[in-house]
Amino acid sequence: MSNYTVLVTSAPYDDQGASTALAFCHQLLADGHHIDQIFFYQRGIYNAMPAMAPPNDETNYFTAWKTLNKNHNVTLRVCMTAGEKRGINANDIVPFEQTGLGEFFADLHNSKNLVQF
Amino acid sequence: MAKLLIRLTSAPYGTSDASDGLDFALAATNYGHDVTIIFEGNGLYQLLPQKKVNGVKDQSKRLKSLPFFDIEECYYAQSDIERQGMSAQSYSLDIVSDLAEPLDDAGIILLVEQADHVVTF
Repeated sequence: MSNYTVLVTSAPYDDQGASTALAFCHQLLADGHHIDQIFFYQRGIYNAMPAMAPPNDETNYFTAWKTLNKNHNVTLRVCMTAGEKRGINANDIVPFEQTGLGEFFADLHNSKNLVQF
Repeated sequence: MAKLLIRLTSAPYGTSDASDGLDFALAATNYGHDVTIIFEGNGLYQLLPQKKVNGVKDQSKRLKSLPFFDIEECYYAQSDIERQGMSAQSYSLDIVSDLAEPLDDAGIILLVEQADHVVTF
């Protein structure tokens, strides 16, 4: 069993990264690993946009991450410098936490593994 | 403290990756991590002299600040110079040597092996 930090730099829908990251996180938890934090940086911050409204046969990533947080108490963090630049509204992104690279790197000290999507 | 290898593989202004990668590297050193940077592929274009571009941060200028942030290990992929069709004649590659040292493919593999984490921009 090991500790993981997951770094998401892929936008939902445009890139496959977000989808793969979600599947990877579910499998980590299923295998008994611990996720220290999931950090959304660059265009990855679009995963935390609650206003996303995909067609019914496509994943709503905001809801999917939110469910992961609810079921497994995983920490979701958005880089707010990247987020505010792109127009994210800090008030309605809960359960994503408003953070920065500082928090990311401070907690990275505890993680054995860092995986980027 | 983790040993981070940050791969800068994107051209300076085509995407925000070059600038975001640099922000990421500088923040890592501020929080006690050991950072090594390698320029690969299109990332080599970040090392060439550029004109000032309006509306975005000046990547050339920012890269020159790397030594002040305790990032002393800075390399570029030597074999990518050829792969990218860049030659010493057509580009003033002397600026490259100011910022980063050449590293062959075996050296790059060693960097990856020695790093705790690898992040790509």
